[in-house]
Amino acid sequence: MNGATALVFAVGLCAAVASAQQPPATQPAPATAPVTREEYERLLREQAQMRQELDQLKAQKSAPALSSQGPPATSQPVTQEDLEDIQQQMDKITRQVHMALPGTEHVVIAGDAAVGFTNQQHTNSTFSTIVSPLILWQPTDRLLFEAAADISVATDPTGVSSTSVDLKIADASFIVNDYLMVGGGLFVVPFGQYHNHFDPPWINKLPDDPLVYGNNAIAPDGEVGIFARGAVPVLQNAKVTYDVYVTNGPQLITTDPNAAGTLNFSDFTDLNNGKAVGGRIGFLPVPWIETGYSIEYADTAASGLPHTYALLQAFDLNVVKDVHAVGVFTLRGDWIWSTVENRTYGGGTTGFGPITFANYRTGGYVDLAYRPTYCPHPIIRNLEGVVRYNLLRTPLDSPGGDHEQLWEFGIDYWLTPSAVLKVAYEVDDKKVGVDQNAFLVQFGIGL
Amino acid sequence: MITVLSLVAVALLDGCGQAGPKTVTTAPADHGVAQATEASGAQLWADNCSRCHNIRPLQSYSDAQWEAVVMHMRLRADLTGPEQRKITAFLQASN
Repeated sequence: MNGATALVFAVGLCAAVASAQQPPATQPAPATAPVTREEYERLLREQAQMRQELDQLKAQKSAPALSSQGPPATSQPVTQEDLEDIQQQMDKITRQVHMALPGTEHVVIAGDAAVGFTNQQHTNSTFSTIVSPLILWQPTDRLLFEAAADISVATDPTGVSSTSVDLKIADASFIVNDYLMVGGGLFVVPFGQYHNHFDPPWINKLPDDPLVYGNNAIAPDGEVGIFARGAVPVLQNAKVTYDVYVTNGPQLITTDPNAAGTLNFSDFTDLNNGKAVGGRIGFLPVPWIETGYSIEYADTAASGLPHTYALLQAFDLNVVKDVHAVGVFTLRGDWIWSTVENRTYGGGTTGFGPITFANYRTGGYVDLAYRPTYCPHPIIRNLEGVVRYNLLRTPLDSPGGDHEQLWEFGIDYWLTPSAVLKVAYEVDDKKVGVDQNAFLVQFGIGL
Repeated sequence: MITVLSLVAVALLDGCGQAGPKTVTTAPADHGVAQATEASGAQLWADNCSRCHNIRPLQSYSDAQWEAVVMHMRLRADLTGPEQRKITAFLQASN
């Protein structure tokens, strides 16, 4: 087989195999259509044959005999472009073979983990750990299943130890078109940016959550329901994002003397027929700035109790600017307002109250970080300094009510892009409770 | 406290004024020339990923796994369909 014949044969074979793998234009088939073992092995044989012919072509092109004897009159010299074209065809077929493999290739097990140490005033110092596996399964081009859980251990003040496995995500999402996705299940509520973007330990720049998302959270994280979301380009460089959802919503705690008036956002099975409605509208004037406004409105009272509506709102901002020769600056924060209708808590057999208060809570956080990524020193350029300001105001006449400010100062060392060692010190200032400064160390990794 | 922070910042900047080799594997990328609708897959990848976290190595996942990961990130980061396809194509061509 001379060079030209081989070239024609190889290109023809490529085209034939490629066209055989491509569905008709009018009826596109999913990339994960089942492939028989015979088809798969035939593609492998054809690929091996083509590679052999390509090697022959390369050998002929470089052989001195060709130049001395001259090619046959009907042949054309094989150019580098011809070889590159064949190589591209082979790469394409190789990719098609790879994508046609059945089984688990569209399953990804990722997630994150953290190990920490906390020494906080007026409590015992302790180590802690958490592992959060994330499973992604994409059975078709348009469908994605997600599942994630937080696995951790703890011992309560009475000395009882326990292991917890908290399901955080269990949802299905479907691509409707380029600008719309719909889905449902237990999903991360797009309220503010923190839980949706920043809370994994290899992304959060400090060892703990901001106050407004911590133990006395005033904003949701995961809820059960349905959602629609997407993004639309606007102007030349800008983009508008949108999220709307309907969920079971939060539940108002009424009988716990230590938490009456707060919202339980883990209301996985609804206790009333009123559903929470919420959403977020985001705007990115340039790719390195994102800001948004979120809202959620819900009836929070269990069936049989007077309707008690809650209105939650948030404003968020995220700015990440790479300043040439200086480094990367990050400014991010969420600010939240929570208003729950007035009602009376306690009384009767609850053992406390009755008490009534204006149930208005507000707070937020602001992170400012700097990393000298252009510094030639390999240790310094992997360091990142972080400062966070937290504020949480809850009604002073409510159970556990307080006005708390918390300053956090941290230094991170990035071992890899997704592994970080964090050291931080917190300065606490409460109006009612006892101040609890703390020293924290955490190793966080994304997998 | 502001004074202390200023001193820390000056100390970190001292000796770092000369632009050294950029640690592509560990640092967010430059966003200066981003185009939301016309940017390449590489630029979109850098812009959208580094807005929240450091960029993961391209070899982290196989072609099929990158498809699932980028679809997951389309949900998280509100990517458009064209952005999803360009980023996926870039990652699959570069891993």
